[in-house]
Amino acid sequence: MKTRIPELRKVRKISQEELALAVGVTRQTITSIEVGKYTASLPLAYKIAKYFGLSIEEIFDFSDLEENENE
Amino acid sequence: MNEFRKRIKMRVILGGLFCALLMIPNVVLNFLVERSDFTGFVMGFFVASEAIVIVLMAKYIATLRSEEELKKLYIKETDERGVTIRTQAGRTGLCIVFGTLIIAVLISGYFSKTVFFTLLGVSLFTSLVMILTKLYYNMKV
Repeated sequence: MKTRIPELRKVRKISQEELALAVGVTRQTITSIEVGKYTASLPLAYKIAKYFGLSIEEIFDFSDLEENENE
Repeated sequence: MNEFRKRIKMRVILGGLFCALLMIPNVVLNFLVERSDFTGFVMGFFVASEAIVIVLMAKYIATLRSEEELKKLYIKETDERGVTIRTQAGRTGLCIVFGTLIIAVLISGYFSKTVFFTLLGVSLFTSLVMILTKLYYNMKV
């Protein structure tokens, strides 16, 4: 799943480590989410969205999911 | 975090109990059983196990003294990706072990009755554990 996390981190000058500590996961988890290897759970997606002050849909791209549903 | 602190304290206590329990076979081997190369090996195994537990206990005690280290350990242990990896690895590992055991049971049947029944017992016990854990988590989740 694609995310806007790297872009948002860059704008706000936040490291992966800082974000990871704030949302209670390891830096490796943030890396995996950013590269699309791991899909965050709903509670983690909520924490990340809350951290950036945005909604979940504004951070995570659900278009792949919608395409699969339409097929 | 208090719950996690209690859990770590419990691990230290259990580690201590484990070490105390391991002392019993050590004493038995040392004083009651005639010494041989095998008893030496078994004793070495127990001592190594105790050493590992003591190192872990020391690590946990040091972690309990620092709030920052405790938080780091909490994140490391509850990290959802880590939990997923452990679950997947456990499931795959168990399937590989079980598959290998079944093959070993079939092969051993041609060579040794004792090995055959031992491996068969282990296979049955493994499948029983697999079924019971599945039933437990079916009820829990």
